[in-house]
Amino acid sequence: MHEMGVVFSVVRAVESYAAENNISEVQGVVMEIGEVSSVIPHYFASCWEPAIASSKCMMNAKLEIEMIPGIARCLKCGEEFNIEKGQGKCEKCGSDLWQTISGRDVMIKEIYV
Amino acid sequence: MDDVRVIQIKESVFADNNKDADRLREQLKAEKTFLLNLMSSPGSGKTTTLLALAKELEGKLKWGVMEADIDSSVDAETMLKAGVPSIQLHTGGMCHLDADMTRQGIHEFGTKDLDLVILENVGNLVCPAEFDTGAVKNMTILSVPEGHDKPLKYPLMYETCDLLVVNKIDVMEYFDFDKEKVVEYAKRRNPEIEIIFLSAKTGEGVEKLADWILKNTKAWIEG
Repeated sequence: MHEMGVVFSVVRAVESYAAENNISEVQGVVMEIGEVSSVIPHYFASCWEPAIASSKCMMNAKLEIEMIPGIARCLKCGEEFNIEKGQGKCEKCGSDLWQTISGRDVMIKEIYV
Repeated sequence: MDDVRVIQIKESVFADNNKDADRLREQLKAEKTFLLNLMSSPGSGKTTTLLALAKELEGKLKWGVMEADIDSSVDAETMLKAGVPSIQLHTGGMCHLDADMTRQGIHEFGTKDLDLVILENVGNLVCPAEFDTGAVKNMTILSVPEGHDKPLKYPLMYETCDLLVVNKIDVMEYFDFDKEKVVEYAKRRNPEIEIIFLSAKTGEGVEKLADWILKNTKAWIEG
């Protein structure tokens, strides 16, 4: 359950961006959460209200979450496949030797001001 | 809501932490201190392994331990009793350490005169792997009773680590633990990972771990 820490770091990052750019009120934050990032969107969302409650510029900010699919590239045949759908195996050749190429990160995509 | 503007940010939430971690590594390089981040599940024998190491490392380098826990100071007290300088960090409920908390610990501890600092991270196989602490190398302990399939269940931990220590090999015969499988599964997630089998209790294999640490500390300090 490290979503709480991640949510607070998002609030801090947006607050400092707002301060640097003379933004007095942030109306919304759009997050991109990778499917294989180990941040669970449901828990992330449930930490949002407590995290923004004491923030001057973000106390009314709405949260939007966009999921980024977890994609891997097979090291044997080069196929790109969805990690969750393939259940950890290449959909084409069945190999379990692969590298994650997307879906591991958690990003602040954009803010509404 | 016509006057709402959309501003692209595109910043990873881990970006700040990664920058802090790189800065800490630069500082450690200048101070000639090797920081090793030790991660594992609770009860795998992190503190017992460190105690076994204390005997092997005695007189070979100056070292200390930073113990991170959600609460209590039993681990730091145990290390102090064994004559190893140590400091207890409290994460205040957080399930992992980040680079800034590690930097504060390093500062508080005063590590300039130490060749090696081992950071005993919070016992957890998920979150600590996500956050770069600023350590030079990462190691994880997997104890025999936990089972040989841990690398499949917690892939990021094994992808992040340079060294896997398989501990409690003295009880191997009581468990369905497959030595070859654990190597295969760990290498599948990280072909570069080095693996040492040991028993912190009997001392078997601890020398190999001490050698690995001495070799890597030397490379960092002299490199």
